[in-house]
Amino acid sequence: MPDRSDEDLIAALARGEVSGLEELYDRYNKIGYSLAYRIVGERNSAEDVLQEAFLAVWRQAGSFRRERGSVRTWLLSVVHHRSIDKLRASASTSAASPLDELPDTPADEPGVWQQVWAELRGDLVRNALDDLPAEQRKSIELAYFSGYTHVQIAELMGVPLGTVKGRLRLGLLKLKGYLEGQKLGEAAT
Amino acid sequence: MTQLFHVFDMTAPYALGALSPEDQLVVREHIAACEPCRVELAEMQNVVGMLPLACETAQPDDELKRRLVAAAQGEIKAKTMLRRRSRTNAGSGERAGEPGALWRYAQYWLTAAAGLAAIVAVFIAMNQSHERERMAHALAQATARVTALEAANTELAAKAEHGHDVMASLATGSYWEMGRGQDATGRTWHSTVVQPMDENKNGMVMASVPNAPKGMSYQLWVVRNGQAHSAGAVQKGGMTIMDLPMPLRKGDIVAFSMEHGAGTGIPTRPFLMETAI
Repeated sequence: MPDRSDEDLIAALARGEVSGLEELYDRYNKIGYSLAYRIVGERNSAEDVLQEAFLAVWRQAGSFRRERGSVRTWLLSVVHHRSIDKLRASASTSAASPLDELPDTPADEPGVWQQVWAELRGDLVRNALDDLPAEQRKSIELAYFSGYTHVQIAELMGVPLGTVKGRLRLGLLKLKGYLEGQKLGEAAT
Repeated sequence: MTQLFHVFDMTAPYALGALSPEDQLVVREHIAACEPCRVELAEMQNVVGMLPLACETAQPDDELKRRLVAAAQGEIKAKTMLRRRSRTNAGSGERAGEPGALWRYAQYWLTAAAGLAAIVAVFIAMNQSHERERMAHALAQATARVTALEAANTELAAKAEHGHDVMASLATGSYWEMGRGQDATGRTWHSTVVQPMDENKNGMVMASVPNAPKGMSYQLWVVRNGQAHSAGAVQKGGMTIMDLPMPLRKGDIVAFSMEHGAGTGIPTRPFLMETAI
């Protein structure tokens, strides 16, 4: 039987088919766990996060809307949010940002980005991050992987808030350009 | 509508999850009406969606998949059980308009059954002794939790049933507003006396009671022919439904007094409020 699409799997979950959950898990457990482990830094906690995230998707599959982003985006977003929540809880910090479960903005994924995602290798993304100016990379890592708000990052780095906003935006735009260039360049050769 | 400003500087922190709830709201409201900012935010979210790939690849324990599947199957079983019970209740006359008891009941069972199923599945699968020991502890905790939930559920079901009796009596029987009163701290409270239409059934009192002062309690009485009959005492405030020791008759007096300790055999203080039947 050909592989079912992510959307087919979510529809199966909404019907209560556990086999769909198993397939989805097989497809995304490594990247989900890698992300959780990177953020929480401990195996048991990362596994707890991953299980909670898949169960959340299992329970909310019926509310999935394709126009709000892909299944992968949704799932990884849930993993990210729960990881940050766990990190903040364990650190007893009040980062004042209860994170949403679902992406709440239309996440357009034009063809080039779907292709980028499908073919992108982890080392390319790591290289792209490494190529960023140190302060931009650090700002992005503090925000995404360490769960700091932009205000906290400004305090940590001792720079004005506007500087942090600028670094985050420029950093992401550079990443976008780098990754698009890599994949489009490969596609042309 | 043309926007007078943009939030380009907020799209990156938003996509990275680095905004406070208040700032998140500002961005959400803005992009709902601003196409350029919406497009930029979508781009930022696409880039952020690539960041998980930057993590060093790690793999969860194989056992995790089994745990996940067991938990999902446990939820299915719990839902099936609830549907059956719901049908049974419907068949035995439970009304759709019950005050949310069935849903709370469902939540208890769903949580308890899913948690227990997951823990049991993992426990069976564990081979190594230290893992078994750890899971035995978790199982004991889960079992204790289930027991506590069952007890809470029983209490809840009893309250719901009692509430149903009161509501039915309000609709078909007789009731009297006992009125409002103030406790020793000056807080207001009120209560309603209810006599079911079946005059052989005991009366009830539905009351909103404040916390009694330390060492005191509010005691409910039925006074008939000059003799006071205790209907029990409450110390903890909140909504409460109390059974009276007898069916109410014309000439009875229902009253609250404040007494020492957990109550007394006869009223020792003036009634805080009372109503004549």
